[in-house]
Amino acid sequence: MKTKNKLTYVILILSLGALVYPFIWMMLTAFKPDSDLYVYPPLFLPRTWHFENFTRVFELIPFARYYMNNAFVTAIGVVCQVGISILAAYPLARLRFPLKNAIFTFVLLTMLMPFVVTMIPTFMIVAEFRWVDTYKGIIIPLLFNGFSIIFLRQFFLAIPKDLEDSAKLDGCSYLRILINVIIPNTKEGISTITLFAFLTWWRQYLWPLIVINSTKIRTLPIGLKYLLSDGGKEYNILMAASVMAIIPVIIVYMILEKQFIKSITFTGIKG
Amino acid sequence: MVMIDRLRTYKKEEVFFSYICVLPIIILAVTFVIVPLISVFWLGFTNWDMVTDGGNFIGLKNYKYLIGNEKFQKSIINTLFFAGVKIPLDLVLSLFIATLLDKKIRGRSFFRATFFLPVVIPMVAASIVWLWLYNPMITPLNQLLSFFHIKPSRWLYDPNLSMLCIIFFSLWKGLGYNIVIFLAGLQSIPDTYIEAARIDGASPNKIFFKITLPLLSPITYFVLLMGIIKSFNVFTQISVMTPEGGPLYSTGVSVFYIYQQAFQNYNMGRASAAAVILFFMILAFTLVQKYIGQKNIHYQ
Amino acid sequence: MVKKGIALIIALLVVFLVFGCSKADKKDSEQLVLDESEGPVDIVFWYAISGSKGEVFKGLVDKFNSSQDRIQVEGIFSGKYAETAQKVTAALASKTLPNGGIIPAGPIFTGQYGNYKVLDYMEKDADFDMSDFYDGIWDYGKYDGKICVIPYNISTPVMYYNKDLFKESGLDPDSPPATWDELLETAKAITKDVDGDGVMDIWGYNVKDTKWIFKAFLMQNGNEIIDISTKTPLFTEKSGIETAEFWKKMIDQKAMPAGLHNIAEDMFLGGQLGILMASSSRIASWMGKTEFELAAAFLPKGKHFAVPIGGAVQALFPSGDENEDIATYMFMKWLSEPENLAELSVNTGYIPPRKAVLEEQSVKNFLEDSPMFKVAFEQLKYASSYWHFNEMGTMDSLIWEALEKIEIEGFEADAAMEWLSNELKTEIEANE
Repeated sequence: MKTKNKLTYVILILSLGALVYPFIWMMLTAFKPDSDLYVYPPLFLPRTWHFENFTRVFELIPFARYYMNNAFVTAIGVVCQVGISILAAYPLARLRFPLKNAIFTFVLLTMLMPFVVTMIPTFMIVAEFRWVDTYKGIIIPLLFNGFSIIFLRQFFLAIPKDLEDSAKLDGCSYLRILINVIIPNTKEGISTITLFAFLTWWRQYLWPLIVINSTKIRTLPIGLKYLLSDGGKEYNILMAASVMAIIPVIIVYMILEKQFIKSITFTGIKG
Repeated sequence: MVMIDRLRTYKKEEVFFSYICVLPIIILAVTFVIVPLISVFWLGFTNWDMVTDGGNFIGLKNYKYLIGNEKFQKSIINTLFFAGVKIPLDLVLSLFIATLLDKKIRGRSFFRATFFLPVVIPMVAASIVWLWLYNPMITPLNQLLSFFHIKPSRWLYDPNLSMLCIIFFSLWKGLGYNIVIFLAGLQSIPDTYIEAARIDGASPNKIFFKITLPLLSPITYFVLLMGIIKSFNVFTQISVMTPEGGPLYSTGVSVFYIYQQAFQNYNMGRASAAAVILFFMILAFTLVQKYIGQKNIHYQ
Repeated sequence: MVKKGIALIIALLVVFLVFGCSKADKKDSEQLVLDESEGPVDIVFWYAISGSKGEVFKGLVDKFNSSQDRIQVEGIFSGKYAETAQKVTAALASKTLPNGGIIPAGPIFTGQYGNYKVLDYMEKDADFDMSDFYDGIWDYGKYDGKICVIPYNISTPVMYYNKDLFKESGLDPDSPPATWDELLETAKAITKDVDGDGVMDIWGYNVKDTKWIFKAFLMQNGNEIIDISTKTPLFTEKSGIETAEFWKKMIDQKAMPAGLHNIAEDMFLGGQLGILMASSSRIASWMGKTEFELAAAFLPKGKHFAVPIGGAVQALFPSGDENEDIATYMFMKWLSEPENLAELSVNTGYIPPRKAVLEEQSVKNFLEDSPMFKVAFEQLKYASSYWHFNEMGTMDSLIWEALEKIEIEGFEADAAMEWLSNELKTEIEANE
């Protein structure tokens, strides 16, 4: 057992370098002055630490405004997407009703067409609704997410039947079973999909770019794109902004990671 | 008769509740996904210029063009190659690392966070670093090779290697996703099963293959399904790392081709037709996988 | 009755006179009058310029808004060129276009759909001096032979070179190659295998923006690329094949590495490349920041000097409200004024599309201080363009493929040009 664990460490630590390296490179680039960017092979450490890149971000774009907009869109998007996905995944996994398989197949089919082509027709519908340049227009068309529905369905499928049966015997309604049995028993699955949904919404780029026109509701990724001149290689300011942009992602990850561990120790399932 | 019998076995309350639950996604999907999807099917038969309503019907002209087009054929082959190499590697590697991270080891959450890091890094930052790694003129990879007296390689700029480079990058970037999924799956397996087997004297390998793997099969099925869909839709890293579709179009995948037709050549009809072909290709693969899956997935 | 009849005749006469007059005197700026009865006119204007250059444009919009109170412009960043194309496409399809914008491939989104409104306005407007723009520049703004946009932030290819590498190779750093043959010889002299592993470590020459540069060479050799009126590709003419042969010679004689155009910029900045041909838009980013002594020169001449034009254009999208359209036109006209173009050029390095800008004192000072820009600006007199056409994007990707056939697959020049010409013909026919 001991030597096996050692092997585990060796594998993990070896992979570590490759995984962390680009991240560190990104952090360091955020501190480089322009002149350090035109050196090849690229410098690892900045020759002079240049903190102005961070303040420059705020000069170039209304960073705080975009940040808040992004947080708003992400919060609404994640909550609604995960909510309706849980609702839909439950009957698809555990209840019996006509057309169940048809609906599941339908969900699957929606994922097979690349967004590059459906984008323009989708935009025409949104324009028809007069939702262009509104929060509604950014959020609602993207709420349906086949990935999260199927993901949750798979987790709901894995719950032992006896748990559900005993609740049924107690006379619980379906909604009760969903809230009291299904959700508590698939916390890992739900926090995982929340994490994925968060990532997707926080970084949503192409669709908001097409839908949003005014600065007032513009989101962060579009702002980030503005920081790099066409064909330019001045990555330092972009990296400074990216570092600031991924901090919430890391925080959300850490909170959800704790959630994993808590649920494990509480139920005593795993050591 | 059989139909009526089956209908009779449905519980009214259960059916009603189910429909209420799926209603929101049905409404959203029909409005924002199905209608656009159907219009793409229609546009495939037209030479829509984006202004005239509906465009002019031109029958199968787009399809005839695509089938005879060398570049389109290449894009299909590239897509299949990407999926065929990436999916199995991704599955095996992420499951392997997930089982390592599921063990009781020191610094477990640190390692988990690290493996998730590439997923978090913005694609632009990640590809800038990897473009540098793949740069044949200065790359540390080549310095490593020359240390072993191996002739330097052109990596991304070699038509035979370029796609493998993209696949390797994609593995690195996306592995964390599947690891997190597998970890969640591994942790929802009740420990009692494994404990029971251990008391019966089963070896760790046997426990893994006879208990963990079957119990994990719904998750594995999911990872595989998503792997297929995502691989056939791969685009961003291709367009960032090989803006022209790689040397001799060796990394030009289907969605890249579709994108070029739609937004560089302004030919929406042809792009739609190509998307329809891709649609049926993915459908065929998922059906095959579903068929195999149904035989091998174990639900509790 | 009679009275009514007379009144009608008088009315008709008046109408005839008013319109007749304005027809006779086309340059009557009185026609473009903004209706201010409902307060200032708000217009929305997209722009595909980002980073510090985008800041300069944003500053111009602010300046316009504060300089008068009749028109308020809301400037909106619409993503980079590729994304702006997607945004404009979506807006075009759903009829949600802005009033106007600085967009790439403008004629594809205007002239193609019969939108030549900006030309109407320019012709009616006595103040707008169209003749001050270079002829080649106007061609860049044409669809089907007719002007439909106003070229704005222009760039052309420039030959950058590393003076240090010139010195190391025993070449005179102050006389860069001026002809094709000199280019070949100079590049060959620079290419070196430093560590002797059989792979070149320093190259003489490479290009970025490859398709564009190849077009430059075609033009220098007197090839017109495409006969636009009949949409006939001209690559297989003698001048086209000669150009491809020269390209192949550069590869075969190790003056240029094969298939490494995407890292040309990295090679150059890393001191591994003697000569780089790339867009003049890089001057502003590199000047004074490279580790080596950087210089720029005209592209060497073939039969004569020639460069293609690139960059974005100002497009006007009719809104259905004449007043908004006039306001948009007035803003576009303001952007095109020498003084404001000068501000853009001096701060971004974009090449001004009209001659009067060069007379601005700020530009004169600027060119004095930075000779590299002088090269780019002066080269504009050799710049030309073909009109925009639908298969333009297709043609560019086919050029890229044809060059790869030469560089990687070892095609002969004539075979590659033959292939290119046939493929393009097939594409054009498929769209008819």
